[in-house]
Amino acid sequence: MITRLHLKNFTAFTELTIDFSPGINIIIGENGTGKTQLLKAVLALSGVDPQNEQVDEKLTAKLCRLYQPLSGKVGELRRAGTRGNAQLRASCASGQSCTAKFNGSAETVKITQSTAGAAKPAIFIPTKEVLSLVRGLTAEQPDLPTIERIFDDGYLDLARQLVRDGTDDLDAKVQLDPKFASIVPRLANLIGGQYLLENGRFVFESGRYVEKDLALHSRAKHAQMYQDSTEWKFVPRSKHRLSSGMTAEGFRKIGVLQRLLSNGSLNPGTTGPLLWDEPESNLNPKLMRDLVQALLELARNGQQIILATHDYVLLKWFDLLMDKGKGDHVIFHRLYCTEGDENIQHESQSEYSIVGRSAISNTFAELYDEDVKRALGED
Amino acid sequence: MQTYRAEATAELLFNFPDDLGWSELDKQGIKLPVRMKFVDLVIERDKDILLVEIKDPSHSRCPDKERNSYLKRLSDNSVVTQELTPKARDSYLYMHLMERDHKPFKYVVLLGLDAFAPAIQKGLLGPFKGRLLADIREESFEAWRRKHIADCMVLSVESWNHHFPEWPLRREPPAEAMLPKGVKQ
Repeated sequence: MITRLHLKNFTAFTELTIDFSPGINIIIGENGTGKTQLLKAVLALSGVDPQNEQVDEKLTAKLCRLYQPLSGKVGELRRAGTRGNAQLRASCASGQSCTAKFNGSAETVKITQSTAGAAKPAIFIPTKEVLSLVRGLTAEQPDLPTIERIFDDGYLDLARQLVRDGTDDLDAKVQLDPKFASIVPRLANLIGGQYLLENGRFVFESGRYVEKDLALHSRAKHAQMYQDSTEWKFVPRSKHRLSSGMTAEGFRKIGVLQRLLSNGSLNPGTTGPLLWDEPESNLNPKLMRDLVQALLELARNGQQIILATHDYVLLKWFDLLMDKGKGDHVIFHRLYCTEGDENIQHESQSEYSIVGRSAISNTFAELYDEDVKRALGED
Repeated sequence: MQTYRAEATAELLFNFPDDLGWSELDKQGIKLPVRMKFVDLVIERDKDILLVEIKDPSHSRCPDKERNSYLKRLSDNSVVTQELTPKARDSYLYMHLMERDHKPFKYVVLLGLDAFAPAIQKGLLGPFKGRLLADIREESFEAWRRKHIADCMVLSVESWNHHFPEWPLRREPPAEAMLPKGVKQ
């Protein structure tokens, strides 16, 4: 779990220090304020293993594959027009920390300080959906140089995590581990089915989770079950399966979360932070409420989440559904530039009112203002 | 310049220029058609007629509980379906029967939201307008064929002053002497 990220003279950032919540962190800001760059920095640093002899080279390659500098050299990632080295530092709750530095002409980063032990790697879900790309990205004889030219490492990492072996028996997982019982059925019922890995590609099986053998339980037993954990069973609607490409892109994004949970790549309380760039893209706003519920459930079970968004509906659902009584801890981090100053600044607070100062809220107000002007026949 | 309050105890005070064609529709103390509900004000402009309804949950004597309950009724649509839409329809009918429907009608709902946080105000206005217009267009199992209300808008005190700077509106509690007996400031 990452507690603090410090970036100096790196990509869009001159100087930025962010303290993260162990629960949910929501990064907001206009285009060009570095939201995705920030997520990628967390991704790069959380995978660093200082015990590895080639740790400098590995981090260099990671940064280059994530940010894809034009020259192919990491030095290009140092913020132009600033003095001094670029510096990235991440600190984790378990005590690990890692600092990496490089200058503007560097071909390799130098890890200047690190504590023993590797931080748990983060999982990054990029803006575009990956489930349907898995077959191509993980083919037996992939054309790796071409693939790497098209997709940055955020996509490739996720594709690898999606095809990782692990139990595909979500039913069993839901019954055995109460933390899955509230999340997996919600996700499946949200999209009306589940994605399964078959012969190296994902297919969609329609159906829904229902309470198991409900009719056989007495009313009292049923109440007890609810108190403990409800028993769920997936009931397929037909034997016919669809290729993932035939399902809605928004569904496939939910399917990514479903798959990561089912194969253990995402295991709340154990795995590193979940980074999600614009979860709202291609998602019907009607699905947003359940997605937010699922993310809150993941966080309640110990999963740190850092997401970047432009979406008012998503933000508002977090505001409405978070329950401090259940220990929900949501921090909003706003990245912004002031007029005449290109340096990105930030403010963090747990109060939703921060959104009222963001471009997202102002855009809605502006949109409405134009609507009123049109209704009144104003120029 | 003329001033207007919807009721004697109302805190929202309008200032209208003398040459503005406006009238009170929901007049107190006179005989009105049975079971018809009217908007507070009618303002005639060059190209349209504004039907103005005033709702003020931010009134200083409005207890918090009542204010929150009003917010709830705003969000569950009951203010729209039970009050705002019938008032628009009845006011239109009245204006039609009085042969005062020679210009398109625009429905302006003024919501005194200044007691609420700016984020709540912004969040309420946009979606609220959409729901109101949808309800005005289709009150029963089928939509009205005639678009009797050309458009509608929901304004806060701030946005009223932004769009109608020539008709300034401010919150000003009435003087003690103006209040009916038994009403305390």
